[in-house]
Amino acid sequence: MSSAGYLAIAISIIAVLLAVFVFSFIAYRRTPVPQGCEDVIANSEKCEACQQTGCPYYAAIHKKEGK
Amino acid sequence: MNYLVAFVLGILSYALINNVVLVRFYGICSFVGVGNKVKSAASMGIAVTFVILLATLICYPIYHFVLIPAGVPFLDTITYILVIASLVQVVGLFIKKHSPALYKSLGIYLPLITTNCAVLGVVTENTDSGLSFLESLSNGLGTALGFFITIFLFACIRVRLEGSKTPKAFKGIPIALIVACLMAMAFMGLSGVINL
Amino acid sequence: MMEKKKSAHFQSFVSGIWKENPLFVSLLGLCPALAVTKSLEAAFGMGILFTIVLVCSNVLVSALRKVIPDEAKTPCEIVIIATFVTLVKMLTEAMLPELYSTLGVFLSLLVVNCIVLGRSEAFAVKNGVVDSLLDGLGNGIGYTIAICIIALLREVLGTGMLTFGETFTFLGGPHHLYILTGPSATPVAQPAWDLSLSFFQTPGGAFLVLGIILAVLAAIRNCKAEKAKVDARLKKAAEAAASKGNPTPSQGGQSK
Repeated sequence: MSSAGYLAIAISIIAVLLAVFVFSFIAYRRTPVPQGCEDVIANSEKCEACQQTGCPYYAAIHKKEGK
Repeated sequence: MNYLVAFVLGILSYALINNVVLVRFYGICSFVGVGNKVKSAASMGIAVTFVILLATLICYPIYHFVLIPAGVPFLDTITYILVIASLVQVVGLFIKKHSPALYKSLGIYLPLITTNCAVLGVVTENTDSGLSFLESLSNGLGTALGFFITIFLFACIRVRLEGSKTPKAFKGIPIALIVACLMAMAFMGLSGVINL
Repeated sequence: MMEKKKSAHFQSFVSGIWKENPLFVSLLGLCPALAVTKSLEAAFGMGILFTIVLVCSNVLVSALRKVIPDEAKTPCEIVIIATFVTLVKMLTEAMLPELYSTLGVFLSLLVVNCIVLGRSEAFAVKNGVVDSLLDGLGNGIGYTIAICIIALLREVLGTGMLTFGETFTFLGGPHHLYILTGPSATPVAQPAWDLSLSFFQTPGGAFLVLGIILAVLAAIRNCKAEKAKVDARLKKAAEAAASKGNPTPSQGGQSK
């Protein structure tokens, strides 16, 4: 196979996986938290190990434990 | 029969002798950060087990049946991280929709496990070292078991540390690292027990 | 205005090196910091590659920040970082194969490194290209210095000598700088005297060195805090004594 063929296959594999990832990521963000679990985040002990600054709760939890 | 014995010994060896945190140095960020909450540590361990198992089962066939025949083995890093991240989101979606109880106990850790070195490390090791499918499965199971044991023990020890008098400069993370050093020395004593 | 902007850029660069050092202050990126620090050369190589990945991904994420929709930011960051890591991996395998085999899996693990992902999520999506470049450079240099300190201690205390030229083979045959051990005639002969503890080359030694470094830094920080507290107290006492000694009637409304 030519090197252009390899490049096309590579790009298509990455594109498919990226599409799956973006789709599942947005779907996860958009489904609402199940009832009875809204206050789970307020229980900050579970999030101390987290370093994901993109998480919507990161600022709240680390501000709470910092002061 | 031989395969079964090798499989079980493989799990034990990857769990205890080649311990994921104390010898191979994967997953240290969450290991040190989990603090002294034993229940959090247990939940985290179970979530990691789940993700490592699924990741091994999915990434190994993708490497051998998609990437290699297509002639692009260098794409393994991108493929693995995308597969692991999508897997985590899909599992999280499933838990969110169908099981509030599971979401309460370990739903929060799932996005964190995407960036855990242990998952990507195990999957990359499986293909870099050219292990067979049964061996990679035992690597995955052993790593998960070892991670769970280590993180659980560490949390239990840190609970005891809370009530003891540590010098002011060592409070918090430094004394936790010294404890990890002692744990690593203890696990070093197991090396060479199983010769695979 | 230009000077203020210039000093703000410089500020983000300098703070990444020492004041907000990603390893010693924020405790991120521990996995490579403990695993590749067996020798100074490997740690230095890892630091350089880490800096390259961090700077490149910061710049690209910052350049594309207006194009990527808000909801898809994390997936795009991950793909950009993974692409650069793959590029760096292939270049290293071609140009420095000994470094590639020493670093092993940890070169691939740069994809999920907490620092790279953290800086791009916290900084690069909100700031301009130049700012992100300087921030990435500062953090990278800080991380390199931090792991080189750990590697220096582990190698000197663990093997007694610094070895140059084994990983970066373009420096020539292995040159040894004997510090805690006497020279040996051949690599397998016993040296005349040896004060090194090979414990520091084991995983336990890595945890010990990092724990002690963090404790030393915490002690320095505590000393500074104590000194600041004592200074503040003395200043307050001096002001109280001064106002008691010379009552100034014009200072109405000022009560101590």
